[in-house]
Amino acid sequence: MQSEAIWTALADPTRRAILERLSRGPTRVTDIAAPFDMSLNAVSKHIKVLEASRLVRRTRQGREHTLELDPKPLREVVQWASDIERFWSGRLDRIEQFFTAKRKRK
Amino acid sequence: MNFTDLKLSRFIPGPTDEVFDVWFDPESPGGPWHGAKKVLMNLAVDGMFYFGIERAALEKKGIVVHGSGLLGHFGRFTAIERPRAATHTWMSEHTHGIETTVSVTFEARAGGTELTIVHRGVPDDESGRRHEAGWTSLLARVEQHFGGKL
Repeated sequence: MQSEAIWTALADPTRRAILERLSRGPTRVTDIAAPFDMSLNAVSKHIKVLEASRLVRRTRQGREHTLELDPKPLREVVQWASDIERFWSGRLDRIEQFFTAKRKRK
Repeated sequence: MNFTDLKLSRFIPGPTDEVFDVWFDPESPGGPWHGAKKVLMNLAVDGMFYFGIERAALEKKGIVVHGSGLLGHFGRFTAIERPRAATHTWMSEHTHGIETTVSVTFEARAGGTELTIVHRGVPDDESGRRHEAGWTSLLARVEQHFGGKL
């Protein structure tokens, strides 16, 4: 369950700007980074957060890395009505992960 | 003001009694109360609870908060039927100070427990909705772009 990761990804204005850019179509990493007044390394960290949320997919062709928006995880977000619902959903993520990890340890 | 009921269910891969105990134990890292800056819990009928979450931590997750310090959640247990169910009231600034009702049920399923939360009487207005301007417009754009795929 990725809801926490999605909210973490959406909470930052730089990451939202990257998603807006990608909503217009797949884009090379270097083109994504160009408009931002920050190092490529800093932009890469934001991109990693977006990849962890599954909102963004990376494809490689030789040395060229291209990013593409995957809208499926946004379905959860679009359906959410309120902060309270997000709160409970995050708590359910937590207890599910707790018992999943516990089972794996056995 | 309009009100709505929220219902969320999740399959938890653990036995019902353990899932119940973890859910209501503030010391357990799997429980909803864990990690709050301040927790008071009296798990008994007419027992009260309080938990205060640091607003800065919520803001990082994109949840809109007002002011600084702790965001307090208050409630009173009205029924406890371990390990099957419990109900309690719930007040916070997200309920606009209105006392709402939360029912949590734990149903045994093959290989685990179906945990269901029903939160009744939640204020359903603009301030409780997607009020973080930054990503609302983004979502609108993405929805428009992907149309039927979403």
